[in-house]
Amino acid sequence: MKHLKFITILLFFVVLAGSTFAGDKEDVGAIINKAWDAFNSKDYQTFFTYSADDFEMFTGVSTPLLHIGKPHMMEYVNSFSSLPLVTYNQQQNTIRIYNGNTAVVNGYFVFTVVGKDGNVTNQSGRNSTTLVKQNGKWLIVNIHFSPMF
Amino acid sequence: MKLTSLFVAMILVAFLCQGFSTVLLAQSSTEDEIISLTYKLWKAENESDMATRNKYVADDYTEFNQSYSTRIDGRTKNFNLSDASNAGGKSLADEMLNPKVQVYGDVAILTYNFAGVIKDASGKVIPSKAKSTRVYVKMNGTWKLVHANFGMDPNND
Repeated sequence: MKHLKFITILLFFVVLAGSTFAGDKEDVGAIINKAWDAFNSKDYQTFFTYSADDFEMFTGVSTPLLHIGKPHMMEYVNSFSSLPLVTYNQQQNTIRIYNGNTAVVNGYFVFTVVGKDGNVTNQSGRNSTTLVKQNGKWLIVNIHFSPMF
Repeated sequence: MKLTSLFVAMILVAFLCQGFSTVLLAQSSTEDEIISLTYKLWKAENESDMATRNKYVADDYTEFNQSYSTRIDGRTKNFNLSDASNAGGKSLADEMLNPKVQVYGDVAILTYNFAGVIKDASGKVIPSKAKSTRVYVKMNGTWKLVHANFGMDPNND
């Protein structure tokens, strides 16, 4: 009987822990989708709300340098606003949660830019995004885009 | 009374300053630890020191690199591929330029421009460049590498 109680309690905690992590994964997945949906709608102000103030980013192939800090990233993203079309689509995401407060998301992306002259540029690559839960809210703290070979 | 209040205020300010500087020192010490750990991993790779590599690289480590388009999942698969591709060659220098460490408690993200020199199997000495991001998570008191993105430097030949 004692064993049964112990196993029941243990099962309860295992299920609880599992559902907690499943919840985190879903939450993180939703954040990623909402952030890029906002980007694709050119709602950059909303897009920025998903990233932390001390956000850092390595972009694709354009520069070897890190975009240090959120203002630098915002300036870069805002520069797309005058272009006819800029879209980012990410697929095959895998999400790993560590210690309940860190999420590592990896996926593959296609970044499409239509210039003012009508020229279309497509760039595909790999994305590494790290999110950290701060005051109960998941925020993107780092993104690294690297080109597909 | 005024003197007592002033004294108490000064003590409070001193405690706050000390607390703040302790936080800054802890942050700075973690940054140094993460950078130093990365150099240690490079040395372990060059010397085939599996004990050190296994200690600081997580089982579920994943990597994006310049040799393969898609993600390589798992420490074993990563080690097999990187060891095989380095066979016959030798790293002459591994350096980290512009390192930046973001620390959030038990997670640390290191970004840097990799600069290295390799002697390949034919004896040719070539530079190696990359834009690198490493994600470390502290597990049971030990920092472990859980993911890395070693992207191409746009100025690569």
